[in-house]
Amino acid sequence: MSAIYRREMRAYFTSVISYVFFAAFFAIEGLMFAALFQAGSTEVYRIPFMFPLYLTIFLIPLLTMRTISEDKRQKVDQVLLTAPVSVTSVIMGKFWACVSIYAIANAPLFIFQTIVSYYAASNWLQFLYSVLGTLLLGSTLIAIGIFVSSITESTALAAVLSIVANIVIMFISQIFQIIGIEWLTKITSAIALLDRFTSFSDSILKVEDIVYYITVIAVFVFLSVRSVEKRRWS
Amino acid sequence: MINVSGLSKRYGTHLAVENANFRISKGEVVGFLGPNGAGKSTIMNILTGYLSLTQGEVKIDGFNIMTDPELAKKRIGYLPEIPPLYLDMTVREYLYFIYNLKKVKFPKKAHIDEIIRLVRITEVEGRLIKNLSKGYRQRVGIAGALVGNPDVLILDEPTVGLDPKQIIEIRDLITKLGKNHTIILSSHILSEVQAVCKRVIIINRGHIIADDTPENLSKTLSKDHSLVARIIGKEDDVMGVLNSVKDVKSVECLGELESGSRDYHIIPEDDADIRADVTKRLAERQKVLLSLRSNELTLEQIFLRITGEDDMQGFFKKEEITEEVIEEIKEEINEENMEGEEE
Repeated sequence: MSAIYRREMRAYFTSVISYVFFAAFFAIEGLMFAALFQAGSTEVYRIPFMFPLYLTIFLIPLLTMRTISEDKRQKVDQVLLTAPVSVTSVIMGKFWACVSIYAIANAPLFIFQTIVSYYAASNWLQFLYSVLGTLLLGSTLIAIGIFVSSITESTALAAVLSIVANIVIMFISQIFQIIGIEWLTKITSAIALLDRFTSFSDSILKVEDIVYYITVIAVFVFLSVRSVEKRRWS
Repeated sequence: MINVSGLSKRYGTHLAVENANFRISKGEVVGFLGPNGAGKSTIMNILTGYLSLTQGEVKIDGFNIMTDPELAKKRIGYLPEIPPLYLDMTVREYLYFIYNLKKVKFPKKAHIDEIIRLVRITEVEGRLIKNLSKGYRQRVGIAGALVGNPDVLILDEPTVGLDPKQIIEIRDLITKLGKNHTIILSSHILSEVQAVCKRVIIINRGHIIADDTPENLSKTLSKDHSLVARIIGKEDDVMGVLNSVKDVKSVECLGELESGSRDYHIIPEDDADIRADVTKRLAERQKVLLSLRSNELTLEQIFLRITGEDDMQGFFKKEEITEEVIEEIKEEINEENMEGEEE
């Protein structure tokens, strides 16, 4: 797994994708922080729940679109699948590389929180909960994106499908609310990623939300493994 | 080293490989021969664990590729038809990646240096793979297969698309590697298999239809061991000389195909090789031998005969001395004689 992780990280840093990703996140988070700072607010933990949330939906597919589809298209999956490593290790190597890039993109939040703490009292625990929620939400979208990448050989199609999947899974309860189907709104609010995510803005840690995200990640990693395995059996 | 029994692979309704059985011992260099779409790559992909099998069993050094894939794969180095290379890496970076991926225990730098030297890619080790020629990419692919020094090397069409000089170099490399590894090589270039492999497995339409040395295949498939000789001299004298050769069963004059000489069909007793005796006796009796053709099949002829490629087989049959060929030669002579008479 570590060989694949290192290879993927290297590939991200030698391509323009990660730099576009970082630039977009740093710029938006910076602007959000500047606005908060000028308004005299110490609530850095709110930043991930503002505009960066929507950025995540559209930019994470940039990271995940080529993870498996590109390997299949260039036939380099042969080197991975004939090596003495399991398919799960291959998928997890790619997953952790994407999560690392996403984590780096969110690293400025710690700088902002440190700056705020220097000037005024601020709630570090609440900030850490929001960072945890951000990482769990991003990791979930990454797992979904890797799965989508595993079902197609086209990176562009993988990106488009991932964005659609992200929008649906994030806002499914809101969609039914707009349509006006109450019972479906209730059911889907329990599984919609956004509804779970907003609970991380509270200062109380809800274990069920963490378990929920980890479960969804595990399900999509499992589906990605099965999708790759399926090609061997078809 | 490799034990394949009852192997079948189905793609939907298409049966790509059906009930393949073979064993390959340690140190053997075996050629998979077959037309495009015969099932060679499918069998290789199954042996390496890239594809699953529908039925049967594949064991590499005693480890089942389906139930112990990691242990089995540790023993295999694989070069697919298109080398699986990361184009954005340099040659050395790529080989280090393969080293880490395979979790090799040898000293890293020394091991990779040795492979780079062996496959002669020292001059390009620092270059990005995307900037390399096809020949060098093929070598890097072979280098990747060699990382970890696996016992078994599986090379799928290793010389496809290369220029003649590169083909010779890769063949030499495979011959060198064959001294220390068990090698399976697939090709549809017959001379390549004949040059490199001691054993040939011929595959057609998903079936193994022959498995032997090229020499044995030739012996088994040749209908007879007769010769056609073109000799200058009087017909009676030459017939007398040929009939006096040991182990000659019968001689038939086919007529005059080339001015001043005649063609003779010489049939030996049983499987006797009479070529040396015939040439020696003719020399003793001062008869000039212009040509001597034997009925021994080339690998091309074996391949076409076994795979039943009739349209191509017609071409090669002219090189064999069958009853039909003899009749054809006789007809040609008669036609020439008739034309001569008309003139």
